[in-house]
Amino acid sequence: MLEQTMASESAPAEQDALSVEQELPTEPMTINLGPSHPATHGTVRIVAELDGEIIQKADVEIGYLHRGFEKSCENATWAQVLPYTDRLNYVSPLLNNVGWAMAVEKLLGIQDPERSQYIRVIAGEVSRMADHLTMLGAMSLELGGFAPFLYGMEARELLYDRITELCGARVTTAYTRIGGVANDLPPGWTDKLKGTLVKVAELREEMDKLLSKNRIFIDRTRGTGVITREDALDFGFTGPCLRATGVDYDVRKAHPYLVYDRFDFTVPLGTRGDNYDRFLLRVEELRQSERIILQALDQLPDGPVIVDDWRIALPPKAQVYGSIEGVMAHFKLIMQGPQIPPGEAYQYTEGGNGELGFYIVSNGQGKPYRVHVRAPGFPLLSALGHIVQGHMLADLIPTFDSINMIGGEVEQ
Amino acid sequence: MPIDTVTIREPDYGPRERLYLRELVRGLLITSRHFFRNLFGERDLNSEVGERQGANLIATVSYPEERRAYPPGYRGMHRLVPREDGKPRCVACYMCATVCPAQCIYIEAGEYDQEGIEKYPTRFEIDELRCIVCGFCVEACPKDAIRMDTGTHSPAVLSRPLATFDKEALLKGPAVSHPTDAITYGKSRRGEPLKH
Amino acid sequence: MSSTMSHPQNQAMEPVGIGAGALTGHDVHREAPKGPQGLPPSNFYAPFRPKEIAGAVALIGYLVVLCAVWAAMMIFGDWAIVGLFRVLGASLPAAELWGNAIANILFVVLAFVMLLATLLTMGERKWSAFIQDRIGPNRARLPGLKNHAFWGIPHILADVGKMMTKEEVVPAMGNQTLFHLAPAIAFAPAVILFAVIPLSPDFTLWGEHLHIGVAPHLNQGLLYIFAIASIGVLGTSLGGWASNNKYGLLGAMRASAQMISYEVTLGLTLVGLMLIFGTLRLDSMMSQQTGHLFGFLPNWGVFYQPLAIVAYFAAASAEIKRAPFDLPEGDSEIVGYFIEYSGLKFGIYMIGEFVEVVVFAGLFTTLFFGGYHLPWGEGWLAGHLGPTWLAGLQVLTFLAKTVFFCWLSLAVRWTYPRFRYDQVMNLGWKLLLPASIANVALTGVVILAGGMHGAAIMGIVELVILLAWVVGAVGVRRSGKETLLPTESAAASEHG
Repeated sequence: MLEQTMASESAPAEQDALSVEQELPTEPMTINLGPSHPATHGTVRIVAELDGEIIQKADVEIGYLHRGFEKSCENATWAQVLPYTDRLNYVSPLLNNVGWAMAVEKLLGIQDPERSQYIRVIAGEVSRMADHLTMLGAMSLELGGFAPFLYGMEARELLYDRITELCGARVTTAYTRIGGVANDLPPGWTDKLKGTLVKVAELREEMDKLLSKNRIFIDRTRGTGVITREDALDFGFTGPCLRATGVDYDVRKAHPYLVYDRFDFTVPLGTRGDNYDRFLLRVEELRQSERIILQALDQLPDGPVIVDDWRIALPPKAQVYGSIEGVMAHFKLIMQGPQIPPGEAYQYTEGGNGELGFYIVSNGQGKPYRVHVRAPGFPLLSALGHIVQGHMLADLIPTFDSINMIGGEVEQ
Repeated sequence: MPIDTVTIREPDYGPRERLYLRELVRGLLITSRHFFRNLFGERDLNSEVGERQGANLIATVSYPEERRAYPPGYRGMHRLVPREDGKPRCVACYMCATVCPAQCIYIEAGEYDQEGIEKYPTRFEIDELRCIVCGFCVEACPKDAIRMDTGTHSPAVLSRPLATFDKEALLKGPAVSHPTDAITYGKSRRGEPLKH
Repeated sequence: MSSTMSHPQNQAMEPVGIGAGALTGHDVHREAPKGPQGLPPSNFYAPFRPKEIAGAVALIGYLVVLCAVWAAMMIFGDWAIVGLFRVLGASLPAAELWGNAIANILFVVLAFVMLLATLLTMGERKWSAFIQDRIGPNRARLPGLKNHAFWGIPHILADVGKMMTKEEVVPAMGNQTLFHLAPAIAFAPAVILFAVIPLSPDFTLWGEHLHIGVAPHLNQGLLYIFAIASIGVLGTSLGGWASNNKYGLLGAMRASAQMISYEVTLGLTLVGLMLIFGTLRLDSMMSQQTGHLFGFLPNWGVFYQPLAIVAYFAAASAEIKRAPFDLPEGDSEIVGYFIEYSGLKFGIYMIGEFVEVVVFAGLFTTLFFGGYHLPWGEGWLAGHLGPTWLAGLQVLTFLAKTVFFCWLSLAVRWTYPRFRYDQVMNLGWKLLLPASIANVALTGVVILAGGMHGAAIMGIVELVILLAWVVGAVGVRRSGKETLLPTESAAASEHG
């Protein structure tokens, strides 16, 4: 394409030279990036056909991390599926936990207690911040800026520390339960979280300062990896990548779930849908997540954190240890799992990369009949080849980073 | 419902940014600030990284010598909780083995001769390589007989069989008793107190 | 669904969690983690402790011993060589002191360039760690000194050992000869480039007229630099091509395009300096950079050619393939032109890069920052210490300046993202090259009109503008609410 425009604009004498050049036998070079390539921080393989450094065609292959999540779910009780969801988007596992628990609750027709909803919001937003920080850092790293990457990691680890205190594990959180959350906030946790948010904000601003006005970074990201609004909608984009094109779709605002309608936050939107917009948008979402967390911590009500229904949630330990009813309910719930009425439900939440949907079908037994995950990363990754076509090889890297493909959820 | 949105405002990008130098100096100031603070500042060795004080900004620990304590509630290695008399609290009810999503727990039950509880595990093995550390077994236990409060993670081993921990290896840590234990533990089958 | 099965006692929901024993009043006891706990017996990375001072003294002592060996070689080596030639009855060009020459080669190349480059391999890892809030490498220990990390310096030995013992993989379909030759072609120019840089003025020691520096009196000093520096591209592009690897080929293509393009800028930035000093000899440039401008500013090239400095720094970074111009390496895109190299051949590429850093830092010092000259007080020191001791001090000054610019190069490398291939070309051809041509023209006109004094005034005006830019950057940073949504970030900071 480039050559054609050059040829049409050039003078006749030059055109002769160009035509001679064009007659030289050339062939595109096929280059194979991945599945183990420094820039593929999931396992994904990109087969690119290069003309010089211009990508003529990029073929994205997935499947290296396929674990059969959906099929595995059919062999586990509704409660046992929860740890599997940690492994979907392993950068923000709490959001997956929340999504799964809410999907099952939707089929059950119950609502978890108010305190549990607030805790889910707080934990989810902390997890979203960790997700965005990871993405921002990784993007910087692969553009060659190592310091912002480690500032982002530092901030992320601080948040992971809080998640560890809350859930008992950094990544494999398994925190929510059907009808609530596993345990209440540890004592003193909210104050610690507030302190952590201050530090995270400092590091976030440092990352932002190092990159967002630096011309090298702007040149690398602005105008590269562009996807139009129409294409983005056609591919099924959601989340930050869709909002970067200017579409105001955020599940938290468009279809408020949990208690998101009680918080004052804005949805940042981009204009061009390029890598730079996606970067800035995530930086801004970090700020918004911080706002949500602080408001939620202020409004946090007292009360139970899990529903008081022994058919759904495990009885309190006192009842299990000391009463026959408790032991019976406990055994029944463990052996058979919560009995979900027949039917199907689709529950969608705003995950780290977009709309995270769980479509579940129950046949009235203790195990899911069918589970499907609408992983937000899959449409994003499927558009990668379309986005980078005609761009340079070096543009593939920030584009791949800014769509933030997570192998776990894309390949399930 | 109209959504509260705002279009992100891009940072100024004028001739000053276009000529590289200003932003490069700004970036260099940030990183050299980190450099000199970390070079000259005394490193705070607080294992809680977020609470470190002082000019030094280093956020890592020098691992084998310094270790970060796991927070309370951390899901670590399993242990079989002993009773006061040193026997496992476990009554081999198979709840943990049932609920385990990874099926990493193997139990064989035996019977006590004279105690109020009839069953106990003759074999209780956990394959720590299969374990996905979800903590469901702890929740599922109706006797508070298995916990993940050892504060360690499962150790690195040189061969797979070594990662399977048997009852003797798992039975450790402080004993636990509950008031409700009187219902089952420590009595004969007829409900009389046991003579030790 | 109502809670029909709910037990009447079940009023307050207890958190069903991991430490379920809390319910019965039993404190959830958590065993302390196994293994060595808590803090190490002594804090062995805290700076400015006696051991560190001892280490620094040892390092300086090492340099002093080297100097002594150098002096001894210079004197006795000269006697030996001259005597040997006399015994053989051969005639000997007497222009140069032969012992001095051999000692200089060994001292400058081995003790200065290679030592500094070797230390830089660790310096890069350690300094980058400090920039990134890490501790950095500290695991390797010297035998018998197990309690001290020596700032990670023993890692150098470990690295060398590793590289020498690693399997060397040679791509079967590659060009074998060039594959083996390329690292040497890349490494050699980097080392011999240092030959023309003077590390000290001529001085007298024990009656001998000496200097440090292999060939600082070369008439074509700057031309020599351009000539040798342009050879370096061969090693890179041949290495990438001979590997028979697509990534390597891409790296080689990028390297050759980039390095050849930036040679033009590199040369032109220094033309202004040639106009100012009226010579290509580096030692005579040195000798002109003494004294003071307007009585207090050191008479350094930086005050004549500040624009050239910026352009030169960028062009030199591109020429030695350091970030943000490390496209031929581009470790996250194409792995680099040396992708197929392993073992010591890769090590040579790596150390060659650091040698280049040292050489260009040395050149930078020599051309723009007065080389071995102290900024102030040289006359006073010469009066009190004598020229010989002053020369020793000046060598250390040169060392300090060079190390500083090495640090700057490394700090830049760890701060900025990488350019893209076409953007590097744009920067080089459309910005740096016109700027350096304009600089040459401006300098020429000013020198014609106002002589050296006019050039100095022009340079200082340029420098003030540049500094105002920098101060402006600091000011913006301080007032710094350049966040995207000012109100909200203010709200967030209020909460914090």
